[in-house]
Amino acid sequence: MLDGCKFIAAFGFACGLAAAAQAADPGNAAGHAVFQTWCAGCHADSPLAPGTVALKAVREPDAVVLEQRTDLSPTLIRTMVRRGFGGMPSFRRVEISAAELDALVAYLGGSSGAGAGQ
Amino acid sequence: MSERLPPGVTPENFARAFTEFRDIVGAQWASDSQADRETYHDPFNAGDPLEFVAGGFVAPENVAEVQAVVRAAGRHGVPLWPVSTGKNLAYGGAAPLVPGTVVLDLKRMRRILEVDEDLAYAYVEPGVSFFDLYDYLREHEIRLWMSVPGPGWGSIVGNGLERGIGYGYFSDHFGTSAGLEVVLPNGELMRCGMGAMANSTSGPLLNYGYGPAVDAIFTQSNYGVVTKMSRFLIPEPETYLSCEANCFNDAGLEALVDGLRRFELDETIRNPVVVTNVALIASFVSVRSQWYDGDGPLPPDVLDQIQTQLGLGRWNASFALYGNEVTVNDAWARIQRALGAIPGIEFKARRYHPGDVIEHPRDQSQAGVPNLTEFGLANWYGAGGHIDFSPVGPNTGEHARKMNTLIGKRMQEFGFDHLAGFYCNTRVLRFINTIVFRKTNPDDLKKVREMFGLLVTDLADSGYGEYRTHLAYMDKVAQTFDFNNHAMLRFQELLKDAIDPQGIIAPGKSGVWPRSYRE
Repeated sequence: MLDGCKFIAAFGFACGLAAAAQAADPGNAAGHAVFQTWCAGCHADSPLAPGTVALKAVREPDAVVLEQRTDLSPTLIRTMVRRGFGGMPSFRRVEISAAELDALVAYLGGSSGAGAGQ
Repeated sequence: MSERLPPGVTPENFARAFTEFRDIVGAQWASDSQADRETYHDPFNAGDPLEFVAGGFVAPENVAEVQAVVRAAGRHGVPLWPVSTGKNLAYGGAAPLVPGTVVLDLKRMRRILEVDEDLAYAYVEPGVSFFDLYDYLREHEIRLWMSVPGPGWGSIVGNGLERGIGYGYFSDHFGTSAGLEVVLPNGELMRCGMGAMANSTSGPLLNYGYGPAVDAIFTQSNYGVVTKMSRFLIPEPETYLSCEANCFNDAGLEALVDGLRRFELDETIRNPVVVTNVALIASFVSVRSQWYDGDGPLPPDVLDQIQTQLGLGRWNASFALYGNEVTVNDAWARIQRALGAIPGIEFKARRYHPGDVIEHPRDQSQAGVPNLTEFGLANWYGAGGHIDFSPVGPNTGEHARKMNTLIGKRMQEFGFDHLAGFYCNTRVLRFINTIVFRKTNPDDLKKVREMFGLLVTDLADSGYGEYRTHLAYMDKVAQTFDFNNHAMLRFQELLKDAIDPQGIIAPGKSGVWPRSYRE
């Protein structure tokens, strides 16, 4: 089965969390909790996180790890969550509530997203 | 008002049903708005993503609300499609088969009702995911392991009811459960097995009660809404060895399946032996363009390159040994001796003890640690889209080869990469073929639809039937179970007509239609 170290070497990932700047708002505990529950499994800074692997193949290095990105608009985040994209499925209100989506938008995209979490 | 109504339901009746649903669960948890209902679709469908889309959703929080919703649906003739967490991805996700059906979303029912450390079981509601139970066990420092499937965000109850399989000891997720509680189509509450006694001491422990066993009829079925179920767990072993036996040659498939079977039969190996081809493993952790940009299936020299770079075989068997140092070391030595003469074989093992951090995703899965790494396969072509084709055969190398050849030939003919793995467990193997495609490419969608139908026929003609299938193929697969003029399907329809004469619950699930739809 997969030898993780060989994979890491083949694709140039570093083990563990990268030391890159954190763009997400670390003071937003509610948004961080939503990210950890619903997003981190695929979008963590890890060579074994599918979303990160997929983005690394097609995007510039600074656009791979969601928590390090500064270009995520509230509209983009909401659309991705509710409609999905590529290999990412959509998430229902019963999974991520409107309030939780607001918190996630604020965490990843700045505070401009609050109040519109449909 | 929804633009799309279930067959035979008037706009007035649909509206009246939703008025009642909102009264029962609260306005925010029942909706037929376009925005809400379109989240109940299959994001990976081989066709229009809204081909299978709900007319709305209703999300109860407890059993009494489920009963009230089912009764209200019956009063107005509105069909319901129950989902647990809605993550039955590759088989339809949270989407209903009949467009306009209202999804009965049980995700809000996520109580872990009981974890018994002495008897090693958990009793849970349908909205509890594998992640939820894992977090609970860790938080409460309970040293019990569960069996988890590939992606860990699925429902413990839902996966069991779909007769899903996992990587741990109790890998038959329905076969190692009990304590089913069911809301019947008339709204009545029933418990199965020993739980049918009102004061039972053993409800979550034994699925056999007294008289005809009925719990299995609620799997892959439309006879009721399951609201509780137990899952059996195992005590954390003193020693856990995650083992690999990888063959560099394609010809090693038969030898791996046959060589490991005796260790499954005598329970030296107590979890499934998963024999995976190199392309499937590559899809978990990389995207196709990193290896190859050409059309058609990956050429052999590219597969060679992937093997070399990722340290894999053409066929890769993984399994676990659970026990203590003595038993695990003895078993591993015996297995290596038995398989050591296979040309091109390489053995690997990683050893763990209580308290160790497990980082390798397969090692995690075999130790009941859920993750999402395998979900990476959805990104293989960079545009999502996947459905699984999952036939069952005898657990022998001869049958594994025959199934692989039949399916590989079709994948080659239609130009898709063959990403596949055999889940071998004592006497049977389930051959999971993950058909990944570009859901934005109309040609891919057309080819997948045609190919899947041919695969069902090809395999059925050779005596292999699917253990589970996508919404689009439920009727076709049901038709392949054709002994004595489809006697089983006719019996299933007989049950449906008796249990759910109005056809309220999940019309068409697994090819079983209510009388009104059949006529």
